[in-house]
Amino acid sequence: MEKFFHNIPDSLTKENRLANVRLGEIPMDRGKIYLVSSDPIMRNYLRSYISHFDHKVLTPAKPENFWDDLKALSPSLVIYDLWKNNSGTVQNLQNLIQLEKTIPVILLAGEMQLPMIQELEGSDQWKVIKKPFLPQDLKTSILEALGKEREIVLTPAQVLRPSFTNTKKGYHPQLLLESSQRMQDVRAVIDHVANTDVTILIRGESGTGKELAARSIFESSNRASKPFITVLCPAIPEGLLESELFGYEKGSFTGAFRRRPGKFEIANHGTIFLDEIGDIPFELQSKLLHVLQRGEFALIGGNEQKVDVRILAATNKDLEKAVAEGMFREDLYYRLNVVSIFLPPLRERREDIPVLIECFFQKYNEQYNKEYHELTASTMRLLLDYDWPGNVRELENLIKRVVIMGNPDTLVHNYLNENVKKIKPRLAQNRPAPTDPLPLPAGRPRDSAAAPSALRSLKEVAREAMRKAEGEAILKALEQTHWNRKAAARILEISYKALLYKIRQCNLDGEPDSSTPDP
Amino acid sequence: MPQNPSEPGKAADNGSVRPLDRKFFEYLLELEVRKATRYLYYFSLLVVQLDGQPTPEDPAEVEAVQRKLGYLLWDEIRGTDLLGQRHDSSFFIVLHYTDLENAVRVGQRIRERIEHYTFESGSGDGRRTISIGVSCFPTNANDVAGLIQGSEELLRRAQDRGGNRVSVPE
Repeated sequence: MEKFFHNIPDSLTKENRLANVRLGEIPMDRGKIYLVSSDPIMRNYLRSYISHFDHKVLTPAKPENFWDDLKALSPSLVIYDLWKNNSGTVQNLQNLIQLEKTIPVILLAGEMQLPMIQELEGSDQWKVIKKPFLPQDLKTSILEALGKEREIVLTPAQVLRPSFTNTKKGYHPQLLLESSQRMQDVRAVIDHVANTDVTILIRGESGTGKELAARSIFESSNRASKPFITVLCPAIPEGLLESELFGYEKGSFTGAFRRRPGKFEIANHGTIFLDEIGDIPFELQSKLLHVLQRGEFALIGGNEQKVDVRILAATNKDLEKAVAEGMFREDLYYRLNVVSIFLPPLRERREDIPVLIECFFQKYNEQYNKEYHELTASTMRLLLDYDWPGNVRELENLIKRVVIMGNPDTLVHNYLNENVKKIKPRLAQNRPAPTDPLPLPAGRPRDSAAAPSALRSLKEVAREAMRKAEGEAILKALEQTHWNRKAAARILEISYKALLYKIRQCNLDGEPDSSTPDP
Repeated sequence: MPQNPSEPGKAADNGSVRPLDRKFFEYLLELEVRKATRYLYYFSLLVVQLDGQPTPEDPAEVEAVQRKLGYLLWDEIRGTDLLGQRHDSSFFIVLHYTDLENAVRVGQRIRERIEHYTFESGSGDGRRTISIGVSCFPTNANDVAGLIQGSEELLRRAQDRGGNRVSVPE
């Protein structure tokens, strides 16, 4: 079966990449620890925990390969987690007795395995830690085994959030495994601005990794030890967003039984990430601007208080268009857009696709304890030619499905065929037939400017219909009240200010001849 | 997997509060911080210590006073709050859903209770006082280290100013 890799830099050849993902790329100087565990949860936990001691943690790609890998890698210490009693385990333990003469071994064993260990000749030399165990016990045993006397201070945050602290150096597979120049440029900007306090606006299509970029900025910044609070603006109902962001005082409204802090207060001295900021209600934008300008906010019903928060924002919307339409405050836009990072869609950096595929295969093979799947050249070609409208997220989900379901080639072919069928009618109307006889069409139109007006998105159609209906209702109310706006606002059950805004939005500014002045 | 080294915050049958490993205490506090961040609520950390040095030649009495103090503290807080004793003989209390203002109120109540309580004593009059350092999440700090450091500093400040007081961030 022919294997296919496309435009991968020399440093990322298949063998290197596999080795890198398996063994970890960061050079360390405190000895290699070879970790063997068939339990994926335990394996992940141990690897995260041990990695904090600056040890290089090696794990076999498959548990059954452990003996061969062990000989080749010559680690400083072996940690063997006994999971189940079987003949393979006994054999491995017997081998470990021989190994003990040269390399120290720590055994992690449950109640059930202890008799089996005691029966083996020479097992009394082992350091056996009974499960469940305290992390401190394991740490002490490792230090003893490696002859390190220096105390390793591990904060609870490191114990609890090993994956976060691992990413201190900005390690994020989707961001760092870039081989394209465009992603390298993004990385360079992130590195450049991370350690400053400037507000950053991250832009890009859905699924391109905006949140990962934000997290990467946070973790590379000098606020990394402080909170990182994410707010997905559209996920919070409009009426609740203000109290979520700024908190409220007890009794400030019905149901405010106790004082509650807002996200800004909790993120003090840290970073707040406002995802999909383009969806934030117009009324709230001025409050947000106030925080940005003066570093102050007030709990609902409370006094102003100072806050020191770095704001990162992300959107997949055209904010300039929103500003032009009056949906987004211009001053807020300029405040947010101090530094703008644009994450290119996956179809514009196809050279990243094979690397990402490898990365996701490794991730999900390990997560679901599956064997590595190789893709044929034709399948890889299809994956490279597909336009990935859902970007990296779509690719990740496909690989996840492949790992779980198996049979990668058929599954990928079916998936891509289905998706291409869905977008084909649109392609037929928007683009001339591709002259390049590729197995898959090149993609679908992305920007609304390229699409004819008949093919507007459902959202746009709905928005226009809503605006039209609102305009009619407002006009009717205004005519009924002889253009008395206050009275009209009462009829429509909206605030006077909101009515003025809607009148402007619906282009109802023109005063009729019979208008009466407002009281 | 980590196991629980003790039952945190539970008064034992004999009325004493079990000493809690500092790391485990920090682990619990970290969990509390994460929950408070997720569900947006205030909580407060109180560090409580008896004023004056314990009498070294009478360890039994010191232990009895400590045990009684633990019981009294336990009696003054809600069943859902956390209470533990650290190896340096200070106690900590985590008050859920409690902002600084209310934490100070609880602190004052505890201080008054101890001030007016007569401990069994073979040597003195049995009257003891305590000092308390209070810090609130997220008002004063939004991480474990900041909260502990803040409370301990305030406790020291209260003791430096003569003790029998509740010290809060200025």
